[in-house]
Amino acid sequence: MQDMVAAAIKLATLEVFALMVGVDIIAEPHRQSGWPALGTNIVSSFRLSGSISGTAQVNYTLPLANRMTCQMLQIEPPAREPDVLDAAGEVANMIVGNVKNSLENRWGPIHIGTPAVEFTVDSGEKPQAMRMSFRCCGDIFTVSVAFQEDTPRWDN
Amino acid sequence: MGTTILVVDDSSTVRKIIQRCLRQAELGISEVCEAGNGREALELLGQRRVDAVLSDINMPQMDGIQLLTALRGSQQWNHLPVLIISTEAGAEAVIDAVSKGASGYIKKPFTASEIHDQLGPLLKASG
Repeated sequence: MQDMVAAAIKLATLEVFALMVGVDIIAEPHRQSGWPALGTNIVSSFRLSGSISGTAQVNYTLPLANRMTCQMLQIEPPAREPDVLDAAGEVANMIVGNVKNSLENRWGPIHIGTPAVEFTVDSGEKPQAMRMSFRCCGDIFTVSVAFQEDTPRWDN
Repeated sequence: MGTTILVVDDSSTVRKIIQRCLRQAELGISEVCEAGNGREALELLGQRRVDAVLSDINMPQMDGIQLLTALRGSQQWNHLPVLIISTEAGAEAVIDAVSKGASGYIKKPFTASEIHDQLGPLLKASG
């Protein structure tokens, strides 16, 4: 299950950044623990329910989110804050949506709740979480999927 | 009169990207108007003529499927081409949209050529 989730995250993120953001990113090798906290960032959070339950998060630094927004809107920096929140949220929405599509093929229907996009301090690692980091424009962002602790498949 | 497309998505970023893709698709589109949800889209359609609609599904107030149902239930807009653009890619979502009258379906993320390949024939058929 862990490898499947990691592969789904990697594929979805690479695709979204290639087609919608228009910048190259590099996926770092996945792991479950020992991630550096990213400080105060833009975090997009989604509740997952259905065949699996948990949360998905996409976590960008503020400079990266600004750069992404300018790239997507094809404007000069700095971008307006509402545009940054919207762009960051929509990129996260596409990533998590495509992760969901991949996992659904194996496990059955999964529902994604309405995303919450906010400036927040990184809350650190969560148990039963697969978190992948990606390098983009000299910066790092992370995509994580955390399952509820009673998820039976996690260690398979 | 030029071709006018209505783009319906709650994300202003996505609306801008779709606009850019429509220009890149070289379909002879002269104007693109925008709405943030299905309700805004219906208000706009009541005020002006549009040749096709590109709509997301998940939007507040009135989602894309509700918009599609409203359009297909109306005499005035029953034949308006409606292309769904959504992160929902499962067979159920696509079948649901098509069964309710979607003229086509594009999964996010998308390319300008995908929009060209699906929207082009629809505009030709309705033109």
